[in-house]
Amino acid sequence: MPQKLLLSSLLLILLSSCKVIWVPDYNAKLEDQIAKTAKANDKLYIDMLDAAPDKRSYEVYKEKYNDIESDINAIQLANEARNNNGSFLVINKNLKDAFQEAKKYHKEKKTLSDGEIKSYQATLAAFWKPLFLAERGLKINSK
Amino acid sequence: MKFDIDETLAQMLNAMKGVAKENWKTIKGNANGFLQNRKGRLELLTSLRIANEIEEEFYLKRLKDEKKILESELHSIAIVSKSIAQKAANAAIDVLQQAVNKLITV
Repeated sequence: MPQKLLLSSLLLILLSSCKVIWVPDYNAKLEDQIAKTAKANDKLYIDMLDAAPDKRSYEVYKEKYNDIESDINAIQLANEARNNNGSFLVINKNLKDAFQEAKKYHKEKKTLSDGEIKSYQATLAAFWKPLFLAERGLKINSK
Repeated sequence: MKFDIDETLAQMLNAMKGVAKENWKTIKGNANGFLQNRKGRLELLTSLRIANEIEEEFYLKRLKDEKKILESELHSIAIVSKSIAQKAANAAIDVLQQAVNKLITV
């Protein structure tokens, strides 16, 4: 009997430390930050499309670009600090690369056409969505 | 340049199913959302190109972006799948733990 008790206790100790962790913990603040920055990125192009073509110079939108880029960097930093973050870092990098390419294109070309704005708006929204849905997908483990 | 949207979408759907495996049913909504968005986006880009609102080089760069977007979507689906699997595995461990607890207290 004491042996059975000892065995059960050992099993209990083993099980209590035996939780599988394959994904980072859900972070509500990060989900909110992703949603807000994705919205700011979308609004950048909505505002640009609304402006007359001669009012679309890079200089006019430079500050908005920089705000969004620094927010993307902050999201990346938060993801870098998590455990089991491999997939998040890939999604983050793809988003950052795409945003920087769009920013560089505007800076070099000075202005953007309606077609280019619509294209970037649609493409960048598509880079944001996987990041947002992945963070929201972690919620299942926080319930 | 000819681009078969439906064929591309079917191939992408298969790639997503491959990543999700047994969690496919649960993440099907996300995957279908990604695909529907992609269809709309490809139609938009192609119509802009046909109307000459964007140049060929710019259009091809946006099509190239689709490869990276797909990569991000597959990683997103992998995260959600792992999250579901983690919850299931820990629920099973909890059941075993409770059973052992009972055994000790008897």
